[in-house]
Amino acid sequence: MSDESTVNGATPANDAASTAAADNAAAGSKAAMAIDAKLGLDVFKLDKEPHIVIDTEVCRTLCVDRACLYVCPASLYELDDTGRMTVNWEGCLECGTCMICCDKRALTWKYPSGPYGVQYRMS
Amino acid sequence: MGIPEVSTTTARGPVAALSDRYPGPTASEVIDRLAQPDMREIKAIVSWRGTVINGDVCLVDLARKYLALIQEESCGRCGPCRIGVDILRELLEKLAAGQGDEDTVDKIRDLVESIDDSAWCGIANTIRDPLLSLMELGEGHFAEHAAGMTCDLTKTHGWVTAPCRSTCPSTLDIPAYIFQGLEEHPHLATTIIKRDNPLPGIIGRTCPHPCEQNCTLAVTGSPIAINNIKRWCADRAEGLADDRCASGCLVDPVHGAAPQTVTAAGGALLIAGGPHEVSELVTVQESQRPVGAPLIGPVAHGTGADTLGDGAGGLLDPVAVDPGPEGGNGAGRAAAAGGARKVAVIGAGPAGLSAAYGLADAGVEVMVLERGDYSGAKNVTGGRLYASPIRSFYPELWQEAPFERAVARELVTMLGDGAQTTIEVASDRFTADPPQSYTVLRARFDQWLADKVGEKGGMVVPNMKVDALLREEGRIIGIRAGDDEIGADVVIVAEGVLRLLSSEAGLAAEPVDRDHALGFKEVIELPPGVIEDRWHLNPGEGAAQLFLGNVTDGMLGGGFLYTNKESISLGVVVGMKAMRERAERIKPRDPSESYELLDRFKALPQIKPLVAGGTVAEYSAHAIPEGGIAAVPKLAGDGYLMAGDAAGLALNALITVRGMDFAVASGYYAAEAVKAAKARGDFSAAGLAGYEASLRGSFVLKDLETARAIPAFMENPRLFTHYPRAVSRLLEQIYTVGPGPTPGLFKTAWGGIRRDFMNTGTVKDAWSARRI
Repeated sequence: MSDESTVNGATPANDAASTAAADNAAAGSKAAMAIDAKLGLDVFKLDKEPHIVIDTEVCRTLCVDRACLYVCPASLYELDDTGRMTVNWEGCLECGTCMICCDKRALTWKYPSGPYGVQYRMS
Repeated sequence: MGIPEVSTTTARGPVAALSDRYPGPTASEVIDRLAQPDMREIKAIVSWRGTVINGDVCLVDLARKYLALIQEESCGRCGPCRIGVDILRELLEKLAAGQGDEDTVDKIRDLVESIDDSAWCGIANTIRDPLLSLMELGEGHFAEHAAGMTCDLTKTHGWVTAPCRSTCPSTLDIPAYIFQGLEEHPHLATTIIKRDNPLPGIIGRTCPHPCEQNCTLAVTGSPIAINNIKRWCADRAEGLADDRCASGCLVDPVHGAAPQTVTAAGGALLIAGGPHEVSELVTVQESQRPVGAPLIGPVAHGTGADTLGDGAGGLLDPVAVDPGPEGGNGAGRAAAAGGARKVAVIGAGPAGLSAAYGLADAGVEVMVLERGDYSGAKNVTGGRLYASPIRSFYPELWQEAPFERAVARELVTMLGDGAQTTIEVASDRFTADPPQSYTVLRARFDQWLADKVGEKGGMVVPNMKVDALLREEGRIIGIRAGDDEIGADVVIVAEGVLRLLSSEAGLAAEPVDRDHALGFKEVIELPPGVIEDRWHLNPGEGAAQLFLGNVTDGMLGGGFLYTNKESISLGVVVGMKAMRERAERIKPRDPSESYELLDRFKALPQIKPLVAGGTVAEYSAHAIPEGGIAAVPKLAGDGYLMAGDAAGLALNALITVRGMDFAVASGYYAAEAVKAAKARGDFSAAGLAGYEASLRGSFVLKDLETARAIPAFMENPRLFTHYPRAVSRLLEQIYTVGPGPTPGLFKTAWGGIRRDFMNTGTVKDAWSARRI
């Protein structure tokens, strides 16, 4: 599966974070719920291909602020080991904030196709 | 579709044909089990190990539907599965229709065997035993079909998948991944899991696993430990230590008992012993509601052309893609579109649905295209809907709208450092009949409004993402969705705040950070009684609370809290420009992220008691237009209208935050304008000009005009730092009695006012506030 690597790449970290969150929730502890655990509450239908594509050359050569790292409410943007910008688009809430805030226009951003992406049940 | 209950079927049960390829109960054990009262309604079980028949069914039909399931699961990578299953299904279709011959049955048998031998993975391995067992049980019946017989399929039963699958909130294919686990393909199991759920690790830990409670085997007290099997597969697929799946780790967490003996050595058996392995891939059960829509039958994610063509009954004619011999200038497209006399609406939110409702009510053919699974699936509100401004539009609607609570109490809280001040306003007139505003949850509200459009004869098509607006000689002539081009007299663009389509078509500017804010929130479930106690509400009444100050790190924005029926919406709004500037300002990069604002907000000692005991049910985020009237694009042009958030029709006036009422109103006026244009047969910019005129004459653009200065005023960071702190500090001091002598009230107050409110900054702020 072509997207397996990205999904797998995100999973171990997610698991660790969510364990902590689950423990906290169970204990009624004061610590906040981890973002991955929050995303875990939402229903996602996984698209076959990413709906956000990063021009990493632009990120590397033109961008210093890296606003995407701060603004994304789902914390999906990460720098990988080599300093390359990546996005875990699978957990995208489709708010578009990264697209609007990326003043270097490094993002090709569209909505996930047809039946895919987040499906809010309340909100 | 369906399973018949007629005398023309064969293999009256109970009979079973089970292979010994996987461990499990014997045929007679299963038949005994089926004889028990709670299992009587099960007509047939088709599982990996074979087939059990307990009633009258058409086995050919059953085989055909089973194949459809497999085809759904097949990834299509290897030929035997992709092509073989397709041919197999064709042969079965033939048989079911009585068009086969003697060879057909043999062909099926051969094909089943060769698929089993040559396919790459366990998906195809689930074909052989069920199909061969069906043919074994119903040899005579298959022969009759081959001789031209057909079964009466008019008396149908519900068609459901395994109950575990139909209850899974993530719509995971649970039987399929359990099977892959059994087949020692944990990586395939995790692929199946991740296809429907990108974050299985999280779900695994937070999901209450209704699948286990609904496991068919739970009736015997020994459900399958589905959660642990999933875990086991995930660990294996991730290459984690094998000892994680040592004996004992599959203890059922819900029921506390070890459901099965586990012999995990080498992963040879996940589940062993007892009658626990009859995990149905397909259970046909008369009493259960048919929930298998996404699996079998004509469903929404078929081809777009079919959905549009059939469903609409030719409502919107596909535009000829090939312009034909008239030439390559698209004249053919224009002609097709011009003859269409139809309205397409992009986006089934309040703006699009309001427009569609008005048009459908007037008998205009209208189709709303919605990219979510249902209306509201992609929408987020804070949220409150001000109903007073829109009550005169469609007055019959609002009586029965699924609002959450009528807002009776308005609270504004200024959060300082450790001190806070809340202004609370309650008025009988807020909730007098009819109430002025209501809290709302959008998935419920939007779906209801979509239903209302349907009742009027309008059509709302979910799962249909529009990819582009079709433009010809400066005029919008329709839309493109996937490969389908659909012509329309007029397109109502209610695509939402991001304006992806209209900006690409050049109808509006791309959204910019200065004019937008990010809102994100949690829906936190609380019992209604608790909500009413915490906010001092009468039953059914609600509160709306805004927070300024120590929420947004000094950035433009604040916190909000709305009480719904059985939950509260707690969230943060923060200006995008302020966020981007923060990223610029703070270097080296501060590792904090925007989402933490909500976590910190929630953890404040002032907020914690409000949310205590609540369960977070959903986390959502959305962009909000906050540019005011200056950011409103051109509202209409040749062949199109812009409505709702797409047109920037929203207003954050610090104390009142509005948008959905503007959306409904703009939809209403869009419908009026289209009706007028239709009467004249003129869908040009001139023909649609009435739209902007009516918006200008209504509260929509008037209120936005009144608030023209607000967006600039709100860029003042002191609003979000200094003032909330200063107000709270002042009042705190007035209320403080310390160990020593306490100064007089006037002296305290005057001192505080002089310190925090009488300087050039505040005078300037007061001066600029005169315009708001």
